[in-house]
Amino acid sequence: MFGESARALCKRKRNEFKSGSVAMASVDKGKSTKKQKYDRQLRLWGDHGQDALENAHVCLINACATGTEILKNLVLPAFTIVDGHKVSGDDAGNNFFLTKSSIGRNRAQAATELLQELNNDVSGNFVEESPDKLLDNDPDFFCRFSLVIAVHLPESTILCLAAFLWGAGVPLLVCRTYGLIGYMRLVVKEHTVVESHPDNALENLRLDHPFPELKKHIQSYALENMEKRDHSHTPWIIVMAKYLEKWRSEHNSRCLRAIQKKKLFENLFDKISSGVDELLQDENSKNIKAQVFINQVEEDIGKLKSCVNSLLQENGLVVNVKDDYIHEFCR
Amino acid sequence: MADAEEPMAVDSGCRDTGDWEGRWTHVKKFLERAGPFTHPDFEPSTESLQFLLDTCKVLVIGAGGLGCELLKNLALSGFQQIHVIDMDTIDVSNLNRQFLFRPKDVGRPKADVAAEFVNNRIPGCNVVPHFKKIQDFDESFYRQFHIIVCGLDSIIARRWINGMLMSLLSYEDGVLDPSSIIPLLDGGTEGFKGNARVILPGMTACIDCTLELYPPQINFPMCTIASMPRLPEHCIEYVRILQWPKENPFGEGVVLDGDDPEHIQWVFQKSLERAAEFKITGVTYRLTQGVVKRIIPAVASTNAVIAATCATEVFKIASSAYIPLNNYLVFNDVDGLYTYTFEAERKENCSACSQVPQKLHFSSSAKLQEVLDYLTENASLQMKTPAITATVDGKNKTLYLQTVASIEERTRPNLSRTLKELGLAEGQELAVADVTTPQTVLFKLNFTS
Repeated sequence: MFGESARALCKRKRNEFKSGSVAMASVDKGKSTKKQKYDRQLRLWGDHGQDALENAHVCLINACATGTEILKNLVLPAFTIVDGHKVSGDDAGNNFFLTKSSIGRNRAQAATELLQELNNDVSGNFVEESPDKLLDNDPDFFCRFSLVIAVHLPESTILCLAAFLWGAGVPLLVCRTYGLIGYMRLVVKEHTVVESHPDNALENLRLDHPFPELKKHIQSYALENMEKRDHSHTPWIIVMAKYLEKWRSEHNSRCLRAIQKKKLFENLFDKISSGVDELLQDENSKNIKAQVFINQVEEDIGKLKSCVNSLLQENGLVVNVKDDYIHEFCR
Repeated sequence: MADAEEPMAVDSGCRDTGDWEGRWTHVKKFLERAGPFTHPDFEPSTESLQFLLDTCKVLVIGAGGLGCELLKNLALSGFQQIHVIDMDTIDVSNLNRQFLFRPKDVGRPKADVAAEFVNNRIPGCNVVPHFKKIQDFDESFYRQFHIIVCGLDSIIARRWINGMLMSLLSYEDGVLDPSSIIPLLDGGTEGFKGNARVILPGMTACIDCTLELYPPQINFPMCTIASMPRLPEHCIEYVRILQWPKENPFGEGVVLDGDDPEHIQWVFQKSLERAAEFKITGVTYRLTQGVVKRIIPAVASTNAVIAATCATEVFKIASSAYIPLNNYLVFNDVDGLYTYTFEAERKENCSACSQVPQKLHFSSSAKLQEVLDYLTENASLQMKTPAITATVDGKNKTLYLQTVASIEERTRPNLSRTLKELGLAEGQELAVADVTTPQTVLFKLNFTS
């Protein structure tokens, strides 16, 4: 008897374990299906970008065609549509997210239904109210959003809305379309970009002042004694650093004007490219290399310029920093 | 100007196909009244809408990211006679942006599902799907369309349809017959970048005229892959190109299938091992898959912009109401938003559209291999697997063909023979066939020595 109940207990425990792991497995499966589904965009902005999108909550004012198109492309963030209008025959004719049967119904509600249908992951809400009323009675309503999109709003409403959102720190996107003309304006105080995913990262290794480990590493290469094969596998930044050293010692100069640098680079490139196939093939084109080169040896003129500008402003002077170097840089 | 303030327009001539009052109000505003932006020759009329609804036949090539958007835009603009071609089936990774598809549709042909969805959502619209390759159709099929718009994902396919439309052109006494021109609108996207162009075959720059605009594919040098890897991509390519054919992990002759997760898993594991050997970090499953399948990132918004541009041009051209894009638009919103439009120029001796006879300049002692290399490597030709035939001693002779294994083996020795040895003469015509063009290209052989 004891044996039987012990066996039953074991069986129950085994089943619990199984169903527990099945639950776990389905969570994992859900996660991996999501990763599969959003794979193509994950490759653009990574997991953190994707999370930020999923946790955002966007407000669309007016579910006309322009507005619903925007939401269609966003898909992921939760959205709320604010629209007091009823769907007209015109609306149903130019909006993919309204149909004949939507006519006469509240536009926010009708559009929300067909937008929700796009994707199970999406959570859509609607408010059957005009934005003017909300701004009068409950402006704090808008504070909960990551972004407000205002489509085809009259100027008076936009001004009121914009003033409120600016104070609340909520970004506002104003859109309008008329025939073949479109207009959009982004109103945001400050937008911080962290974890950017640039196409071509221009690393600044500060070749004019290599840090000690880099200097040592550069010195460990003896280009003159290399076989062609080894030479062509030397990272191009090493080659560049070597020749920069050489040029410096020959010309005894540290300050380079931008035009001189470009010329120097071209001579340099011709001289060394005959031996270095890597330079020509591997990822970067000549232009990017040229740009990097110019950046490497640029004393931080951008910073200098803005410092000088703000100094001049503070002292009520004309912000007109004109000198040869700035001109060339701007060229 | 809020929509609700406008009085509802009375729609004359409602059809029985589920129409309603006001349905085409917006479209009619473009077609039934002139304005400061309309084409100088434009005459407003109520017949234009009927032409779009009943008569104008548009072909959409591709039912993917661009295709879905195009079908939606065209249907809402009044085009109801639409055909769509797509040879693919729906994959889970399509669902983030190809909004006509749902999880339950995975595995079904894209063309079919897209047509079903649009026909359902837009009453009266008649999208006809074709689950086929573009090469499965001939001139008689393509000739029926007023306008063709492409949302393709391959340059080869673009060149093929480009060549097809060139072959439809008819010249009388050297003058191009305008009624033989079928406008080709081509859109392409990659991540946050895209482009849209208007091609009037025989009149404006064609795909081949601007072949050099396409950035070269990233292929790492073999020496880097084989002995001096630095990037995780090098490790993955090593496994794909060198290790897989050597080890045949899933059986002799089993080709690496990027869509098979087990294959990718194997490549991923081996790539990690290789990376560890060289102390390289960054090999992930996602990167492995991306490199093996040459995955291009994609997002809904870019496709929406480019498709909208193309669809607008279809509308302009079909209605003759507005001046079309002339002729190439680029779009990039990686950093802020950038767009630029320019007029791509025709190439004088374009092998696809110029009608200028193509020439080959080689020494008579040059080997056939050199000619083959020229055809594939020349920036203006960029052929893939050209097949070369010539008439020698009154008989048609295949000099080299690589797409059929038995013929490749038989003709391979010709590659190391000289042009003279092969019996070719000065002024001889060589006919070259390739996947990049539906018609053979004729080259005239000029001996340099």
